[in-house]
Parts: sequence; structure tokens; C-alpha cells
Amino acid sequence: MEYAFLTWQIPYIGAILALLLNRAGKVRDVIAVLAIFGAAVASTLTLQEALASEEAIHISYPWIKSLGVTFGVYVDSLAAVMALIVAWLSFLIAVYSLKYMEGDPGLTRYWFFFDFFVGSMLLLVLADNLILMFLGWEGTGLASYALIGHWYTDEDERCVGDIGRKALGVPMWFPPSHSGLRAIVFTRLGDVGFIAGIGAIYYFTHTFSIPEIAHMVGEWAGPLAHAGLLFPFLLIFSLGAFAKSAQFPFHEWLVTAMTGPTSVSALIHAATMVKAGVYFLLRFSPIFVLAAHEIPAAEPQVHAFFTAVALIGGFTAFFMATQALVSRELKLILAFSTASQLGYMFLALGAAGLIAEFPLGFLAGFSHLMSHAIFKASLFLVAGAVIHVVHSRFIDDMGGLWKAMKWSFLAMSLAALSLMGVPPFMGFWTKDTIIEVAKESGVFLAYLFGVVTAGLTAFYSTRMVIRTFLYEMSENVKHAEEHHHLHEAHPLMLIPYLSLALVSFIVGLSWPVYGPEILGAMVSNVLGIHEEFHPHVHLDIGLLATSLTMVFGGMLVAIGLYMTSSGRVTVRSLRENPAGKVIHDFLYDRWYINSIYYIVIVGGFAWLSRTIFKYFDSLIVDGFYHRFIPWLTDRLSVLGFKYFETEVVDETYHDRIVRMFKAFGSYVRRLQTGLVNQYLVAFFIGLLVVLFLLLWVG
Amino acid sequence: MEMVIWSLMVLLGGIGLVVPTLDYLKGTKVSPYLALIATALAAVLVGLLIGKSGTLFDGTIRVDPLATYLALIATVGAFLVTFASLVQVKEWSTSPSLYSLLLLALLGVYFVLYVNDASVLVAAWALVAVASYVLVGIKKDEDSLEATAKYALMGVASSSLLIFGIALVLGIVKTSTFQVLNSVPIGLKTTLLLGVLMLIAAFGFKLGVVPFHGWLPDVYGGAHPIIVSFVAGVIKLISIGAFLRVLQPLIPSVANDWFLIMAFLSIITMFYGNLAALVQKNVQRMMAYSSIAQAGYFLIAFAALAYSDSQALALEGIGLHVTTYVLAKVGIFVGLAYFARKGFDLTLEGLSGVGRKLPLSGTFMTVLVLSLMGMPPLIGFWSKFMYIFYSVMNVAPWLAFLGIVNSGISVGYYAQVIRYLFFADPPEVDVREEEPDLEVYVLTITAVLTVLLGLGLVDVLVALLS
Repeated sequence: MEYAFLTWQIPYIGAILALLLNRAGKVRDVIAVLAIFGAAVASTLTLQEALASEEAIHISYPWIKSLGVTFGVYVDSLAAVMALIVAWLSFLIAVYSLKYMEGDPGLTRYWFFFDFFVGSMLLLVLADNLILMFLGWEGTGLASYALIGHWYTDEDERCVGDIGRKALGVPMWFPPSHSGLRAIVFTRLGDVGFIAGIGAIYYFTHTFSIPEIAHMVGEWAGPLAHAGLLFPFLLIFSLGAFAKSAQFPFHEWLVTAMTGPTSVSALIHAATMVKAGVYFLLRFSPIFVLAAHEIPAAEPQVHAFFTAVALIGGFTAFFMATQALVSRELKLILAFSTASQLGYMFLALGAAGLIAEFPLGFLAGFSHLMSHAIFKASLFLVAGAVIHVVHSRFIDDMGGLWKAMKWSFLAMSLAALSLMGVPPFMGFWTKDTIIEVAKESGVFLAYLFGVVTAGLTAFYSTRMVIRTFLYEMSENVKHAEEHHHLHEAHPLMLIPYLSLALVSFIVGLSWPVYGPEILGAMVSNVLGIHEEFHPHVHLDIGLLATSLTMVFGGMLVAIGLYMTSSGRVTVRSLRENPAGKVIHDFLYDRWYINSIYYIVIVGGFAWLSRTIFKYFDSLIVDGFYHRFIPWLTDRLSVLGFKYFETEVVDETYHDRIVRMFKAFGSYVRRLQTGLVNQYLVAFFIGLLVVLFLLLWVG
Repeated sequence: MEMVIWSLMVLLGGIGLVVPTLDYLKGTKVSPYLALIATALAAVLVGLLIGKSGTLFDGTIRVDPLATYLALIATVGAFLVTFASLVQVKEWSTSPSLYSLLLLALLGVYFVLYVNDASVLVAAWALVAVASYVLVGIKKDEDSLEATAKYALMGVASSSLLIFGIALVLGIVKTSTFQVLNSVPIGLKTTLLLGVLMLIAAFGFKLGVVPFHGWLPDVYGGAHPIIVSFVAGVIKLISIGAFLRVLQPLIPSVANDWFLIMAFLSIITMFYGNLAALVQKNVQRMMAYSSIAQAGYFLIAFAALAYSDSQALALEGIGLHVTTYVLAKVGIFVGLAYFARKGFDLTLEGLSGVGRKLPLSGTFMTVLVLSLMGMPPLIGFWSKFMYIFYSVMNVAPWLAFLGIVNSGISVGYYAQVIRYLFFADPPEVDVREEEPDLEVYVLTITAVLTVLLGLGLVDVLVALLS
């Protein structure tokens, strides 16, 4: 059956209905949510079907015949499980949005793009060819652009960053409209690589079909490998994935994407958009490994690629976690954390390509994607509820909320424990496997990043929970309490995040029993993985000790610093200490990378554009016209004077020609800009340049 | 087929020449409607030529599917512009002349597209060129006059090159018919190359190829947007037609040089257009530079014509990208004319929040801009990425890559337009879309076609092309 088609089509239909029911208020909202529910049901049926069949389900119809582009779905266990996670999480977030976004004036727009977003994500997961996948890929980009900029009116409270703060002279606060633009420009940058990669593959294989590409791996990887171009090709092809998943150096957009409504942040971070990049690698890394197996010449290059992925992933994990340590905005802490966790997933996939048992690393990345999706969605949704209650995005304005919001406190604590990787939560199992694979890969630096990040994660997560719920009440909270504004979230909001937090706990608890089964289902017939693999849960005692030391170490330091009065004094003195301040500012201003981008890249492009103007429209053209020609006329007249010293000639050269040029000049000046003569000169110079070039080359 | 061409001449020439005179003398106002009917009928007549090929009028005119396709697109463009102009130019004292010129220029465009003989080329080229100079200045305000003076001055330069080039090439070919050269005498290769180069400059001028582009930002950026929609959307097709009809047969004789020239020109044109567009604050001017960038993409396809294994895809690419380009530019400039009529300033700042005040036109503008950006599944994605860039993939992957990089750069300014249209506070003025805002229909038609063609009609278009 064609449930897989329905899975991505229903949200698109929902999007159109939301648009048509523009004036229908609640009905429109409910229908939009029901569409996502429909997708979730369809995805469940798809998974059932995929698990029942040995082979992957592949249905395709011709679409653009002249190019051989098809319209189809390819459902292996990877696509089916991924679609399931995406659809159900999106549904819970949609339910939450019903209450969270209540009364917003732009709800039609919100629901249209929400459903469009989910549809695009499901399309990219289920697509059987690169073009359709790219379509979904761009769809998520477009929808995120609209949703991040949803509160386009740019009020201060919707921004990200401290209003007025500058680093290296570059403003460090971002209104929603600016953040949306950053998201699309940053991710499109990577897409240039993606589409170029698609082109290269098409050039060799004349197909866009993903399973075909896996079968014909020798035909495209072979020539590339022999030319020594496979490594750069793999990097360029995956560029879109790096950008979409906010890996260094493309991480900046994700941070400022926090200007969107919190439900959108949850959607972007948990289920859609940023996971697209990881999914891309999950989809293609088995094929890359296949290339290494089939073509001896490809091996070192594929190896180099996976090493690069592991290092970039490890570094991103570490680098983003350090920024989360000092952040003052609740959602920003979570954003840094997402990029950091995505780094873990990249690390897992990079390591997977380096170890003997590829499926082990593959599953580490895939299962961490799943567990992260669950706990991060929960964390964001709690954050949204808290921000809703205290009317501030800064943790300085929170604290002591546990009494008023007990269930939210419980949800955030459970989800945070999972994020930290405390046993027996789901996050513990999945993150531990990643560190294990990283160690096995032999890329020591990446392994080190992985271990250190575990400690940092524990610290910032604990700090976040304490500063939000347990720390002494801020003035803001006290004020709200006096006026009885503190309250538990509405059940429509509470139930989604509490249930997600509980799932994270219960699945983790039952992991030793059901884990192998779940993992086995996830890897049962993934495209490109041919070897039999029987996952099992085991614990490496040495490794366990290392990671748990880091986790509990980080936790205890955070508790010590923020829960005891002497700790708080230490924090204050650290921040007042000059060295402490330098480090703090360095981390707080995101390693100054944003500023450097603005100065070098944005400034550079503006400079380049201006220079081109100067070069074309004034320097050369102007120089030619105003210097060379007068000089030439002058020379000619001097020559003429020398040889024909008659009055007629004299008059012609000195008077008429000069007058002619003057007249022409003043005529042109009447055209206000006087540029047209330069255009003409450019016209002829251009012709001459091309001619000379030809004569020179030919 | 000759009947069809005759009918087109009578229809467009007759209405174009006679009716405005009536309007001026009798004070009637029939020319807009007659022009509209004439363009619609012209579309039907051109439609009769679909799938036909052959030479007419003693070999001076040659009909083939690609030319018919381009003619059809030109007619659709002309129809849409005429339709929008019903409300746009009502107040202009010179409007009957405008319609006359519109129809005559369209007739000239047909002849350039179907040209098979040098004499027809020169005559048709002159008809279109002169008509377009006058069109640009027809509003008779300061900006239009400045633009038209520049346009005409540069046009004279390019037309003279056209004549020189034709003379040189014909001297070698020894016949006035455009055809494939079997062999070029050894000593004449440089002469032929010189002739080809002059023709490239002449045609490139109209297309907006750097460095022959100087007039374009001033004309597209300075003239009234409704006029620009015609100049950019319809008249520009003559340069593409001339490239295909006049230069394509000569390519085998200058094959390597041809590729080099085209690749070189396309690179500087794309980069210049896209980089210059990045810093524009005026949307109309930005779209002018975007036109230059688009010309660069066309040149990539022209470069691909040099090799037999990339030729077929390149020709389809040119046809499809013309569709993208005409729909987008006609729609966008008509949309800008609409915004201007509603009292908005055409700068980025001036357009902030307009999409919220005028939601339909804002949304459709966005669709067209996305199509130019190459967003799937719109027609612009297929034509630019899947046809034009992929056509050179076989022969020069680096050129395709540079094209893709340029597409990446272009997001920088296209996204700005969308950002200002939607992600800003709407201005505090009382405007809304209301009857009879015909421009909204034009935007609707172009945007809906952009979506539909992209969603699955690409194959239909490709079938029309061959």
C-alpha cells in the first residue's frame, strides 16, 4: 500500500487547508493539527509495513521523463523509523502549539508553514530520488525562514541576545526578521554544495534514484577516486548536511533561530530541519562505505572524509557546549545544546566509517538522534511554558519556580537527566555508545572532545534546571507570585512535554531488555548495509567509569556553584576577576565567530561589490575616457602642430576637436549622470579585451 | 504557414499602424482593447505553427519548433503586459502610441525569431530596436528620457556592430542565408571570428552581457516598470533568437573559441550581475542587475551549444529558462508597477510590509522571486539547475559549478526582497487589493504558471520545444 506517500502528502494538504480556512479560527487550527496526526498514523502503518517485508519498499512513478526524474518513495528501516519519529513528535508539538500560540494574529501563516514544514521533512525522509529529496530539503529551509521570522514586528522581547551588546563592534542581538534571513542564507550556502554534488553524481550515473546510486556506486565513486577527487566531492556533497545540522563553521544560524516561537524551536531542533543533515549522512554514509569496500583506490579518501566528519562533529559538540556554559537565555542554552548534540551524532557517523563494524556506529548516531529528538522536544516545550509564565527569556528573571510548576519541573528534570546521559535514561545508552565508537575509531581528539563534552553537558544542564526552578526567586518571579501570575502550564501544553520526558525515562529503563530489538528493527534493511548485524547492549566498564565521572563531576560542580551560598560567591568573584571576565566574554560572544563572519564575509562581499563598481564604472572607464583620450588628442594635436603649421589645421585640432568633445561632454552631462559615454567605452574595451584574449589564447 | 505569417503581419502591423491614428484624431479610446485582442489572436496564430517546420518566402523565413515556442512565450508576455497596462497607462497622453509600438515591436520579435536571411534580420532588428527606444522614453518624464537617450546611444553602437559583423560573416559565407558552414578557408578564420565577435557584442548588448551591459541598469532601473516588463520580458527574446538563428550555425567553424568566449563572458556577467545586485537598495534596480545575472546563465547554455553531446539539453534549457525568465520578469516588473501605482516607493525600505497590505500580489511576487532564485519545484529550478547547469556538466563541470555558486550568491538579495515584503511592519496607509487592479491578475497568472509548470508540465514544454 502507499501509506508512505500519504505520510508526506497529508501535511501538505493540511497546509493548503489551513490557508483556505483562513477565517475559520479554531477549526483551522484543529484541522492543521489533525493533518499532522494523519501523517503520524500513516507513518506508523508505513513502519509496520516496512518491518513486515524483507526488502525495502520502493514505489515510483515517472515525473519529468525527459530528465528521468521519478516521483516515488523508498522506505527502508531507516526511512520508516525516521518518518515515525518526525511525524509523532511534530504531532505532539502541534498539540502544544494549539494552546501556546492561542490568540496570535498570524495563525494562518503559522499553521500553513508548520504543516508545510512537517510535510517537507517527511518528503525528504521518504523520497526515493535526490531531486525529490532536495525539494523537501529546500521546503524545510523555506518554512523555517518563515517561522523563525514569525514575529516579524521585531519587538525587543522577541529578539535573541542582549539588546545593545556588541562584540568587536558587531551587534550581538538579532531581531526575528534578521534571524530568518540568516537561517536561509547560511543553509543555502551549504545547499550549493548539495546541488553540485547531485550534478556530479548525475554526470556519472545518469540517474537521481538513491537506490540506483547505491547499486552503481562503482560508476561514480570509481572515476572520482582515481582522479583523487572523491574526498573533496564527499565534502562538497555533504556541505548541505553540515549547514543544515549547524555544524561548525555553519553553526551560527541555529543560535539566532531562537527568535521563532518556542514551539517552532522545538520543531526545528527536535524533529525537523537540523535532523535533516544527520539523516542525510545516515542515508548516504552506508553508500560511501560501500564505495570504500568496492574500490580500493577510494578507501583512503573515504577514510579521510569520515575522519573529517568525526573531527568536525567532535569539535562542534565541544565548542557549542562551552558556549552553553555561560548563556543567560533559556532557549539559547538549549540551542547551543542542540548543536552540541548534533555534533555527537556527526561524531558517531564519522567514527562509524572508521571502525570495523559500521552498523554499530550507524546505530549509535541514529539512536542518539531518536533519544535527542524526544528529550530535546520536551526541554523546549517546558522552556516555552516557563517563558510564557515569567515573560522573560533570561534565566536571571527565573528561579524558584518549582513550587508553582511542579509537573514542568519534573519534566525538565527528567529530560535534562537524559540529556546529561545519566543512567538509566535513554540519553545515557545512546550517548555512551557514541563515546565508545569514538574511542574505537582511533581518532583520539574526537574521542577526547566527546568525553569532555559529556562533563560540560552535565554542568550546563544542571545549571539550567537549577537557575530555572530551584535557584532563589528573582525579583521578576517574586513580583509575579505576589500578583498570583505563577501557574502550571495548561494541560494541552503540559501533557506533550511530560509524556515525552516520561518516554525518555521509561524507554531508557527498559533499554537492556528491549534495546537490542529496537536497534535491530532500525538497522534491519538499511540501504547500503549488507552485512548481518545483531545489536546487543553491553557496557565497557572502563569507558563507563570515565564518562560517568565526567557526568557526575559536571553535575556536582554545578550544584556546588549554584545551590550553595559559598558557590554563588565563587561564581560572582569569578565573573569579576579580569581573567574570568575575558573567558566569560569569549564564550558569551560565541568565540567572536559571529563578529568575524560579519567583518570578513559580509563586509568582504560589500567591499567586493563596491570595488567592482569602482573598477568598472570609474577607474578603468573613467581613466580611459578622461585621461587616455585627452592625452591622445593632445599628442595628436602636438604632432599636427609640428608638421602642418597652418591655421586650418591648427583650428581643427585645437579648436574644433576640443569643442566637439566639449559639446559632446556637455550634451552628455545634461543626461545628469554622464555615464553613458563610459558605457560606450566599456562596450568597446570589452570587445577589444575579448578579441585580445582570443588572439592570445588561440 | 505563409498564410499565418501574412495574417500576423496584417493583424499586428495593421492594428499597430492604423488604430492609434484613429485614437489621436477622433479622440476614441479603443487602442488598448484592440491591442489586447490583437495579442490574443497573435497567440492563436502562433499556436497554429506548433510542431511545424520548414522555410517560407523563398528561404528568408524558417519555422521550427524552438522558434515557435519562443514566439509563443513572447506573445504571452506581450499579452500580459498589455493587460496590465489597461490600468497602468490610462493617464498617459501618449498611450495610443504605446500600444502601436507594442504591437509593432512584437511583430519585429517574431521576425527575428524566425529569421533565416540577413536582410530580414537587419530590418526586423531595426524595427524592434527603434520601437524599444521610443517605448522607453514614451512617458516623457525626466527619468525615461535619460534612460532612452542612453539606450539609443548605445543601441546605435551595437547596431553598427551588427551591420559590420553581418558584412564580415556574409563575405565569407557568400550567401545571405544563415546556414552551417562546411569549411572556412584557412586565411579567413580570423575574419570570421572577428565577425562572430561583433555579432556577439551586438546581440549581447540587448541581452545585457557584461561588458556590453552599461545601458541596462539605467533603463531597467530608470524607466517606468510597466515598460520595463515589456523590454525585459519580450524584447529581450530577440537577442536569444538571434543567438540561436544567426550564431548557432557558425559555432562549428569557431567551436573552441566559441566555448571560451561564452564561458568567459558568462562568468563575468554572472558575477557582476549578482554582486552588483547585492548592494542595491532599489528593488527595480536590483531586478535590473538580476537580469544581467540571468543573461550570464543563458550564456552558459550558449557555451554548451559548442559540443554535440551537450547541445540538445542546452537548447531545451534555453527554451525552458526563457519561460522562467519571461514569467518572472513580466510578473515582477508588473508587480513593481502595481506597488508604485499604489503609492509605494520601490526601495527595499519603501516596500517593507507591503506583502501584508497587498497579500495576494506580495505572495505571488515571492513565488516569482523564488523561481528566479531556483527554488524547487518551481520552473526556475528545473530550467536553471536541471537543464542549463547540467547541460555543461558533461563538457565543463567547473562552469556549472560557478553557475551554482552564483545561484548561492543570488540568494543574498532575493531573500532580502522577500524579507522586506513580509517580515516588516506594514505601513500605516490605507491600501488594499481591489477591482480593477488588473496587475494582480497578471501576477496571479505568472505565479500560477510558474508553480504548475514546475510541478509537472516541464515535459509538456520540452515536447513543445522539439
